[in-house]
Amino acid sequence: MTRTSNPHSRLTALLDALEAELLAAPADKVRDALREAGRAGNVACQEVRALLNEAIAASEDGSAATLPPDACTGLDQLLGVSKELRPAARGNTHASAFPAWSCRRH
Amino acid sequence: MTGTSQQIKDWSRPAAPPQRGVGAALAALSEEDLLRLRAIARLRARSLPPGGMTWSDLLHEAVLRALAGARPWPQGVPLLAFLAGAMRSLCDEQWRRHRRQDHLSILHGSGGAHDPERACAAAEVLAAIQRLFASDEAALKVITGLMSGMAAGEIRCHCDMTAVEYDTTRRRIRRTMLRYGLAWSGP
Repeated sequence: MTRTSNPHSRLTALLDALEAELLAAPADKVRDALREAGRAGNVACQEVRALLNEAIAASEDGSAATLPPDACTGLDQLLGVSKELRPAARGNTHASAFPAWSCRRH
Repeated sequence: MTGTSQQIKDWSRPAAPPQRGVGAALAALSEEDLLRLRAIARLRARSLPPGGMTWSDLLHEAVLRALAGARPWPQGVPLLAFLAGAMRSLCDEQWRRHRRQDHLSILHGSGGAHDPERACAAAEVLAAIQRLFASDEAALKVITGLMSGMAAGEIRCHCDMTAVEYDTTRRRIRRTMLRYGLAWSGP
């Protein structure tokens, strides 16, 4: 139980509860939401599907290996790479000083 | 709303058998699960440091780590719950990175609860989530209870709600979150 006035702890408690709610939502209710959304629902699903397919493809051709947590920061600091040198967008990983770093920046 | 641990037990999303890869399980996700994933990513992305990753970056990175095995998928854990956990960890990691980049000192452990910038950002996100339910007084009461870490029974008691009222409110909250997850674009 959180019982705190700290905004970070309150947000964590709320996000965890809402996330659990989304995970537990019955499939028919989710379907209803998709149906109500019409074309926006289809586009939303296609967008996520495309993102997953892209990640799967990248993973299969070995071009998108991720670094361990926080390793990027450590390397950046060590080598003096600024934030601005990082890839501007997904699919532009070759522009990165570290091609293995997969985070997308917009 | 039942406790999170109980809900984890109740989640009916099938956990993939160990021989099945993350890639195959991702490819087999239903449209409903794609929407859940999107809604969770959009929700979690609200708690990212400003000016950093978007919800799609967050989801993409979580998926890549799962595919690469950088974050192993534990046996028996539903894929969506696993990816949700990965996104949650990435948010914390992004804050740590943000603090290091900005040369801010980490005072206590992870620094989460004692980081003034993160606390300020969290307060803004809380306000934004509350605005989503601005027209629904009962939902706001439940949301406030959830923020305080109250269990379902406590919220019902505190807000003087019947079980039916509480469940109905919970369904409305869920619908709103799903609609929010369906939004065309945005952070």
